[in-house]
Amino acid sequence: MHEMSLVQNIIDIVEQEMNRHGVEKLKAIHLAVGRMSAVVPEQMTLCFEILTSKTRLAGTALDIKMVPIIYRCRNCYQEFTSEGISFKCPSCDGEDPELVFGRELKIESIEVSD
Amino acid sequence: MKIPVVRNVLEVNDRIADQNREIFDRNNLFVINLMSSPGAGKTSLLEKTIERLKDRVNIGVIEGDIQCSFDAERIAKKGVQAIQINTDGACHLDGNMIREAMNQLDLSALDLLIVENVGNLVCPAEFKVGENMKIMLLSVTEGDDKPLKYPLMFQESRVLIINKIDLLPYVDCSVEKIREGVSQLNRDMIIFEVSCRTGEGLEAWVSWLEEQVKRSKISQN
Repeated sequence: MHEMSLVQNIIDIVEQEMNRHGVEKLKAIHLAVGRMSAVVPEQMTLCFEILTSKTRLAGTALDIKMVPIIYRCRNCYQEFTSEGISFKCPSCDGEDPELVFGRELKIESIEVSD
Repeated sequence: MKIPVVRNVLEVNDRIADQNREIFDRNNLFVINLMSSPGAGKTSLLEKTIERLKDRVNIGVIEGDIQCSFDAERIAKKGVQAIQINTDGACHLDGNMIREAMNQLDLSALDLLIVENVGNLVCPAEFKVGENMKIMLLSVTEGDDKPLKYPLMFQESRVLIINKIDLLPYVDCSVEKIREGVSQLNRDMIIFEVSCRTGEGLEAWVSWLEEQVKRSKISQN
């Protein structure tokens, strides 16, 4: 839904990093995107192609690793996923779990050709 | 060869939001980010809250909508400062939009700033704007399965206001089921049941809000 502005943010950060490392062309950008972030990877790829057209990032692959939603029970520390049907701990029925993975929106690395 | 970056895509927004927060703190201002689906009753709640509170608390409002200034006009009629942001398509408010709007307000004259976000039960939960807390509304006409369907919004918010309780006899909505879903996700969430139309439950909400504004002044000083 707001993939366009997110991709613009990604491009701004990547351009900074390219300048910092003296890199002119990239093979790929590696992202970690949590499933809780409500971001659609196909939309991101499309927005990326549009926004990088005719720039030095044109043709760079956008590698999106989707991070699953993982909760940790505050009572027994069991980690579990949830399909949204229940957020109770499958081990001890505890409630109000801590969300430990699934909200990431990170640029992990940029990749240059060897 | 991979060059590690490890940077948050939203770092710019987070930085602006943190700066906004510093400005709010310097002005002794308590800020809430009010969110809900379209039509749940955010603006009505604000109108009723302002009516009951404005003689004791100086209130300013930033209104967020995709288009139109109906909401800011409604709020302005209640005698408080209201700034309208039109996002022209963006589905949520972000730190930068709030930065621009807050420059149009006399922050030092305010005790409480309410940001009424774009009607949307998904995206606003992702974006800090510099608030002290997020508060959400859910109206009984939306159904009682919403907590489990929209977990992020319910987990991010400190308060849930269940609105339109006067319509409970006419809809299939169990407040108990809403509470049950909330307790699974966010045990410390504070829940108010209100009707903006009849006034039921509003006193408890307004008293609580006034208490938060007072407490924040004590801790800021």
